[in-house]
Amino acid sequence: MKKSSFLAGAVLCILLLSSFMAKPVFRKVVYASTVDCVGCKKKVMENISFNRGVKDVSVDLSAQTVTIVFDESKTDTVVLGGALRKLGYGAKIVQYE
Amino acid sequence: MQHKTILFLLAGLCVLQPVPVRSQEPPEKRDTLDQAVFVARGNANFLSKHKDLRTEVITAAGLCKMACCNLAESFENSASVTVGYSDAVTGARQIRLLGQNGIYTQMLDENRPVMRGLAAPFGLNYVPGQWLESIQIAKGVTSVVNGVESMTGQINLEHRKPTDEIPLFVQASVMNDTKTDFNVASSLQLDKEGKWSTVFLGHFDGNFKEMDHNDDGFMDDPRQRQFSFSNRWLYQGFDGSQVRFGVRGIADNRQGGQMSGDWTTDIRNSNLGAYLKAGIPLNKENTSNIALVADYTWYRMDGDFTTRRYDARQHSAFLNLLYQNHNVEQHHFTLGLSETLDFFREKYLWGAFNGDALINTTLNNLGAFGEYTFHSADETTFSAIVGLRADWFKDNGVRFSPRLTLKWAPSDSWVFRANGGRGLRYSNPISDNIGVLSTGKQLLGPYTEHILEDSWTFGGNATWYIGGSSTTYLSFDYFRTQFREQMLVENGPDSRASSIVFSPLTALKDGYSYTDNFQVDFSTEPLEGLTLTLTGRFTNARQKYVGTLAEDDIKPMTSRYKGVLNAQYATHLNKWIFDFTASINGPCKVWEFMKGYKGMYSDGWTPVYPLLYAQVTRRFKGFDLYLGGENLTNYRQQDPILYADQPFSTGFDASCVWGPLMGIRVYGGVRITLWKTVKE
Repeated sequence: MKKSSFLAGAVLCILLLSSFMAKPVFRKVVYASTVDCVGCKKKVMENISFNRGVKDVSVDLSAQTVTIVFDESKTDTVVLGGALRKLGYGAKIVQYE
Repeated sequence: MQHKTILFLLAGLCVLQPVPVRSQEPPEKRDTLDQAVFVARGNANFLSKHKDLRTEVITAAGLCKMACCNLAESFENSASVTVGYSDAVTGARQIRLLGQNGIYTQMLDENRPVMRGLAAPFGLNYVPGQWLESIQIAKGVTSVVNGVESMTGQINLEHRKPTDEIPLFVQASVMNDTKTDFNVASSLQLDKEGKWSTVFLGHFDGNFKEMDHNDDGFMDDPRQRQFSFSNRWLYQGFDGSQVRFGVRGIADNRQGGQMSGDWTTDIRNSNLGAYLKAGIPLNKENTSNIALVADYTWYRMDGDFTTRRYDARQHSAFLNLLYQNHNVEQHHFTLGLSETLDFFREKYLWGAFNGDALINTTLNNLGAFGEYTFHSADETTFSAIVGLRADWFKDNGVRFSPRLTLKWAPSDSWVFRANGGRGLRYSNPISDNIGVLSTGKQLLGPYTEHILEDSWTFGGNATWYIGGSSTTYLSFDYFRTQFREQMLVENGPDSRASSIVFSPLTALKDGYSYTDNFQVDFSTEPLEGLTLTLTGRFTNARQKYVGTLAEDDIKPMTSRYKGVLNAQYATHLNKWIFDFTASINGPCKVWEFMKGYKGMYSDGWTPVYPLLYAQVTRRFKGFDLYLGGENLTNYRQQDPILYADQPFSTGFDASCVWGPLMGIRVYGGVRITLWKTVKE
């Protein structure tokens, strides 16, 4: 019993440590884009949402911006900008945090 | 103990996982289109806040939440529209809106009238759900611009668009009973300027295996194969002009009836159609324009019901010429002329019943109309639409149809609507009541005549958007449809129940026919991604009877109430979607001759029954996989065919359907979407 509790405690410590060490860093990037229609918004949402490392996507049609939150260890602004351009929309970074 | 420790560790890990950063951007409300607000959330059904009429919208997400092989099935999760079978042998589906048969609901394909006449009984089966982008269900009488046939409401179908940047979409699904559905769509933009675009739509569905779960000797669903295609074109000029045209074709064969007996059905339907829509601006600002809508449809129905045949052809032409003016911001005018011409060639091969007849009928409706729309300066607080049509109907003369729609939104939280007006349509007695052919009864009355049906519908709606939200609302509506003329159909008015009698309402002394319809809708999003909608509908349908056996004037085979609970949960970015729909379906009063049949319906009413649907969808980049189940309570109408063991007797009747014919069904499918990309 003592042995198993000790083992569990040790595993917990290791996992806690590794969890903190592996904590991904999320970044937010806002692209000025050429999205200007409901169909464009749908196209961006349906595609960018499934890109590796993407955690959140939103499209503001009136401001013509695409905001993406992503895991820095899995993707970057170059890949995401390229993905937007491949869909046929501009992708100029206006905000990055 | 060890298990508990492991669980504790896992729980700890889950808690310690970093929570994804969510955008703090408020829900997009700047865009006035409902579509823009709801596209990101993927809501299945919602009540439009901005439409002048009380309009329920079924979105693309809603069309994906069930097997939705065709249009009829896409209404399964709506309480406004009730879906049922016309009879227990042909597989034809029918809908009811405001307690009246779907023939009184005007069906529009992007604002062109469709599914008229012979196309009505099977039309709902011929619109693949996967061809559609959305469906709008408007209650009450609608704009005079689209004709005068909308009596209880209007259902507008928005197809996939030529401008959709989806060069290839493929969907395939199969049910455990071998029912198969396959759709393909391709939207292509043909030039860089975006002037020309087209969409090709293809569909196949089939039911290959005969099944008889209730052992009555009849197939539960007919063997069936259906092909359909459509090609739609769009030209958009830089000056604001637009031309849309397209073609459509359908071929459907269905064989039902006894599994191994002599009473069978063989129905062959074909349809070809073409349309043209053109809009030309008359000034640079495009505040004044003229538009032309032209449509031609050919329809063939050959129906062999063993003891009788009904073979019919229909040629229909529709022309609408419009002048629209909104030079002054708040005042819009539309003036127009319309022509609807229908030619029917109907062969009634009744044999032993009434003998044979070949009747050619030409129906002609020439109309002139005007509509004025006023919007308050902010475009949202108040609007009024006043419309008037003057229609000349062949053999019936001139009829005037006024219509009025008012909408008042005193705040962000409240919307009030009122609506009323007249609707007119020619009846098509046999195709409107296709189930009568699946009986051994003699048809009596003027069932070969296309009388002009005439109704007034009035109603209103109040919606409380709680806290000004577009997504949490409570809505109440009431509508009444009162017929001045209607082709009434009574099954078994005599004690022998050996006939079905058709009778114009005005031929009855003190005749009347009306429906009161009440509905409450509640929708909310208690958690991010979780949408709950709860709807209740109560219908009071009354009519004067042809015969004298009925104890009251409640309209038979019309469900008194329906309650629907929809729950949808979508994980962040819609990668997993869980849909659940539960409904409780109220009783219908049965025909007099059904009372006591095999010990059923002794109180004169059908039982209340539940229905459950569930579906799980997993979405990946470019494709979705889904798995679902229909009628999970496995509830089936017991003995839907009366005297199934004596199909050549006068008592034989397969038209008395009020509940599900098919039990539990499980299905799986895939949707593949290829989006248009550009080379970097």
